Amino acid sequence: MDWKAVIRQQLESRNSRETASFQNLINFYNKIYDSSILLRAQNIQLESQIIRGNTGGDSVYSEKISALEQKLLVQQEELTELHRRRGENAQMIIDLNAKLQLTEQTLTSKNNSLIESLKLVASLRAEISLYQKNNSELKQLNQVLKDEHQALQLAFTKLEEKLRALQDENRELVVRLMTYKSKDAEKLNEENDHLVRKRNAIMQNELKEAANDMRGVTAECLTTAVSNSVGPIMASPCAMPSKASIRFDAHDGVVSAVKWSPVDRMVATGGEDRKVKLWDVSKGVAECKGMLIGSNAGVMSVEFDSTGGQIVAASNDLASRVWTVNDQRLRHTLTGHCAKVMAAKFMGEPNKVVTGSHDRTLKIYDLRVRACVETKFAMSSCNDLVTSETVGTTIMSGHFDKRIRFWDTRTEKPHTEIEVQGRVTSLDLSRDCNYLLSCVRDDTLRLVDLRTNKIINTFEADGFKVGCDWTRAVFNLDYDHVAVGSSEGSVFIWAVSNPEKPLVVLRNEHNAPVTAVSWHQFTNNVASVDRSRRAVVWADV
Amino acid sequence: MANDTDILHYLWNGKLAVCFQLDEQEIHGIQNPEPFYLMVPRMSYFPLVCDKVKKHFVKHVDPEKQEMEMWLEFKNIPLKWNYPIGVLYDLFTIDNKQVDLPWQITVHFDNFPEDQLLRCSCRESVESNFMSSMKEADMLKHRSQVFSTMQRHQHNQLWTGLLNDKFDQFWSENKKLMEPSDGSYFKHIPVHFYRSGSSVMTQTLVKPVSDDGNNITLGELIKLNYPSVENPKVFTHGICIPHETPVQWMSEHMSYLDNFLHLVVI
Repeated sequence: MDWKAVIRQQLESRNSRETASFQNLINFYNKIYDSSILLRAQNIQLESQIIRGNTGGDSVYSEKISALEQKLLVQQEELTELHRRRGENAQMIIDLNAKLQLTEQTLTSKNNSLIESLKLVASLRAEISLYQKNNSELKQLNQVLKDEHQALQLAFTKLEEKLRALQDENRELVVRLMTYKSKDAEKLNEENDHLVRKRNAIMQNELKEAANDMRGVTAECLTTAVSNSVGPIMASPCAMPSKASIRFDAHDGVVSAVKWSPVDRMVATGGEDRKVKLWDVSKGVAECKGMLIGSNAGVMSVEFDSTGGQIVAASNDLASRVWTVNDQRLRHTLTGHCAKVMAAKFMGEPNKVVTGSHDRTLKIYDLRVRACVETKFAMSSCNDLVTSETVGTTIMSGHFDKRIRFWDTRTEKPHTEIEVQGRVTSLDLSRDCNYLLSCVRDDTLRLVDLRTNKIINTFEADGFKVGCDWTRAVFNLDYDHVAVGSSEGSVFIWAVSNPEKPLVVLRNEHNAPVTAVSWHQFTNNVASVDRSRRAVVWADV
Repeated sequence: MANDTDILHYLWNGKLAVCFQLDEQEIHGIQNPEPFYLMVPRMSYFPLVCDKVKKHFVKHVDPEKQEMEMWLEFKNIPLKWNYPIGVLYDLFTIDNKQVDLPWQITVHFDNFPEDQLLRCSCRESVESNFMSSMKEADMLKHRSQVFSTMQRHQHNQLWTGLLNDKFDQFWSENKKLMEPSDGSYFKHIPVHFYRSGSSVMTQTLVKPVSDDGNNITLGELIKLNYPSVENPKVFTHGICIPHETPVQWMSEHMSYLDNFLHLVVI
C-alpha cells in the first residue's frame, strides 16, 4: 500500500503547508475585523448619545425641550420681523403724507397762478381793444389833420403869393417915399446950410479976435433919414446953448443932481424927495419916463453907467443904490457908510461902484457879490469923486479939507494929494483923462493937468458964487468948455482957452441956487437943476 | 468503504487562504477597501463562504451597483461557482506549480460576464446544484438506488453538514453513499476530468474494475483517456496522486463532497 502512504503523506504536508500556516493568522484577522466593526457601531451609538446629552431615559424630555425652544426662537424671529415691517410701513405713511401735502400746495399755487394769468389775459385783451380803438381814432385824426394841412398849404401858398406881391408894392412905395424924403432933406439941408453959413460967418468974426489953439471941431451931424428922435433940438457944431428950451419941475424940493443919459435923450434927476426921475426931452417937452424909488433920504448924486442901462444914486440914507433903467427896478443897495454918501460912480466895466461919503471914507463895492470889498480912509469928508482907467490913478476924490486925493485901488493911502484954496465941492474928468476940473468953495474952478498934477487954469467970474457944498461943475464932451451953476440962479460957461471971461451966462430961469449941471454927450445942450425943484434944458436955438 | 477516516479528516480540514480584493475600477469613494482574508474550505463552494466578503466590499462600491451579483475572478478568468473551491484552485496549477497562497481573488460587482458564468441568485441554487450532482454520482455508482431511498431529512443533513462544516453530520449519511451496492465495486466511477489551464470538464464512463477483475489504477485510466499526454500527472485536492492508486479506493475516499472525483490532468 505505498500509494496510500504516499497519499497520506502528501495530504499531511499539504495541510500543514496550506492550512496551518495561514489558519491562525486569518482567524485572528477575522476576529479583529469583526471586533472593529462592532466597535465602530458602538462608537457611533455613543456619539449620538453624547450629542443628545443624556442617557436614554431623559431623551424624551430633552427632545421636547429642544423642540419647544426651536418653536420659541422661530416665533421671536417672526415677531421682530413683524415689528420691523410695521415700522417701515409707518415711515412710508409719513413720507406719503408729506408728499401729498406738497403736491396739494403745488396744485393750489398752480391754480392761483392760472387764475391770475387768466385775469391778466382778460385785462390785456381789454387793453388791446382800447389800443385798437385809439389807433383807429388817431388814424382818423391824422387823416383829418393831413387834409387840413393840405388845405392850409394851399392857402399858405396863395397868401405867400399875395405877400410877395404886396412886398413888391411896398418896396416900390418905399422907394418913392425915400425919394420924396430925400428931396425934402435936401431942401432942409440947403436951408441949414444957409443958416450955418450965416452963423459961421458970425463966429468966424468972433473967433478971429481970439487967437488960440483951438482944436478942430469935428462936425457931428445927427441927421438920420429915418429916425424918431428927430426933434426940435438939432445938432449944431460948436454952438453954445443960449436959450432955455425946456423947463419943468423935476422934484418936490431941492434937486441935487442931474445927468444926461449917454445913449438916449434922457435926463435923470435926483432930489431931496428921495426919488430919481427919468425925463425924456426929445420932443421938446420933458416927459417923465419913470421914477426910481427905494431911497430913504435925499439923492445927492446920480450917475449912468457907460451903456446907459444902469443908474447909481448916492443918497443921504447912508447907502447908494443901483437901478436898471429899462425896467426901473432896484438892483442893488450898497450900505456900509456911517454918514451921507455924497457921490457914487461906476468903475470899470460896471461891476464896481465907488462911493465917497461924509464919514471920511471911500468904499468900493463889487456888484457881483453886492458887498463892500474895500474901504479907503480918506481923513476928510469926500464931496465928489471921479474914476478913471488910466494906469496909476483910478480914483480921484475931492474933500472938505481942500485936498484932492488920487487913489489907486490897490493901495490904502492916496499916492498923490493936491491942495487947493478951498473946499472941493465937485470933480469932473475930461474925456482924455488928462484934465481934472474941480469946483472950489472959494468961488473958482480949478483945472488940474493930471500929467503934472499941477493947477494950470483957474476959472472965475463976477457974480459967480458957489452955492453949496456940492455944486457940480462939468466939462463938455470936447472938454473945451466948462459949465457950472451959480448961487443966484445962473449958469456960467467958460471956454477952457479963456478962463477969465465966461463965454456964456445963462440967466433968468432959475430962482434959486443951481446945484448941478450936465452937458449932453453929443449936442451942446446943458441941463441944470436948482434948489427950488426946477430943471431947465438949455439949447442954442 | 471509507475506512481510512484519517485521510477523510485530512481532506475535510483542507483550507485555503484567500485574499479577496475589490476590483480597482469598481472602487467608489475616496477610501480604498482593505483586502479581505479568509480561510475557505477546499470542499465548499464560493457562494457559501462569501457573505462576509460581500458585506465588507459592498460599502465601497458605487451605490447603484450594490444590488448586483458579486462574481469572482482570478487572472481575468471568472470563477464558476458551481465547482468546489479546491477544484478551482487546482485548475490554475501549471507545471506542478500551484498558485501562491494566499490566493488573490478579485471581487467584481459590475459587468457580470453573462457568456461565461451562470447567475447564482441565492443559496438554494447552490444546494440544488449540489444535490443534483450527488444524484448523478449515485446514479453512476448505484443506479440511484441509495440516494433515492434516502429521506428528505437525510438530504438536508448532508447539506447542513456541508454548510456548517460538520464532518460527522455529513459523513454519517455520506457513508451510505460510499458503500458499493453489490460487490465491492461501484457500478461506474463518477469522474470529472480537467486539463490544467482550462475549465472544460470531460466526463466518461469509467468502470472501476477491469474485465479480468483487477482494480483499474489511476495510471491506466489516464492512459485510457489522455493517451496524447506524455508523463501525465494527476492532481486532486492539491496533491499529486500516484499512478498505482486504484480508482475504486479513490472514488470512496478522494471524492469531493458531491461524490465526484475532480481530477486535473497536467
